[in-house]
Amino acid sequence: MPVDKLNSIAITDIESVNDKTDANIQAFNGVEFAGYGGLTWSTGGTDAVRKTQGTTGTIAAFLMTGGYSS
Amino acid sequence: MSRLSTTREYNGSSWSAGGSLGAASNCKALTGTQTDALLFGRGTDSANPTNTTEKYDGSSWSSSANMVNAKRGGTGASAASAIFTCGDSDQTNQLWDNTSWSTSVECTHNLQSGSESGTTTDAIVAGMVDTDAGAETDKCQTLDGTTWSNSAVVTLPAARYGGGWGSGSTEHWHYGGINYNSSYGSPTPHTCLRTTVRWDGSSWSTDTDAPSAGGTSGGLYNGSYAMATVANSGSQGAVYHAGANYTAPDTHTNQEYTWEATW
Repeated sequence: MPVDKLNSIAITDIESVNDKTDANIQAFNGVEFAGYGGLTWSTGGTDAVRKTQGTTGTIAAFLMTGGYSS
Repeated sequence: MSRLSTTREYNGSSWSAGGSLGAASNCKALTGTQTDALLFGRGTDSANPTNTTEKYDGSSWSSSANMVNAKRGGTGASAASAIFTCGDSDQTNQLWDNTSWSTSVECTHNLQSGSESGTTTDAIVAGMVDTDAGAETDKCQTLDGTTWSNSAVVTLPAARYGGGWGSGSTEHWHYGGINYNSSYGSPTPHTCLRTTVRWDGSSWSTDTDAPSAGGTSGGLYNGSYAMATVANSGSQGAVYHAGANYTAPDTHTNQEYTWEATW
């Protein structure tokens, strides 16, 4: 079954277990841990050209400013 | 080529306008969120960086305390905590504590035009120009607490103007840039790298290629990546807005892509 939290800590906030990061954890209770599975790329919306800009935020709330127009 | 003062906001599918900067900038350091962000380490003219910083509240920008030294580059975990990590003329770190900038320890190399991520105590800088040597490099350095050390070199050809994202010294991705050591001449321009490599804290490995941007090799340079947690999904992600590719010698074609990477 899906587990969202451990001891009230969100899974996404857990950085390591006994100092081991996910890539170094082989199994939990005999169940294999898949570890990192690689990137999946997808295409989002287009926007006017700019280069050497600054960016930050989340995919759903992203911020970009400055740069060159051409 | 003109610098921009405009701000653009992305909601996962489309872009819209935000507030305008106080000064048009080619900037490489923006940290925080869409409603609480810090801009620093930027250039406002063709030759020199500036020490000015600005903060964003979701609708408008306002001036903040100046950096100790004018530099281009940097990274950070939030608008309240940021780090400038070497580049331009020296390798001295500068730290932001939500009120003022101060100087800190030095990096092991003076690197710029590569990629960086992390916090004031846990950071990584991956190439791609060794300013002191005046040449491309595959050097990489990580910050563990207050000490910088050399890490395994990036397993890509050394290239300028690449990009990357990550959470610091134990997880970082590097992509793209122009490989000036690749063959050049009509009709073959230098190669723009397309491969993405991932750092897991101890070694680099090849990751999934980014989509092709056309041109000679499908790769890009001068774009900008940022680590971007995918809200409410439990997965992590990054957003990339494209820069340009090479299509022929001295022909740089600007791109308008937005790509999202998840894992």
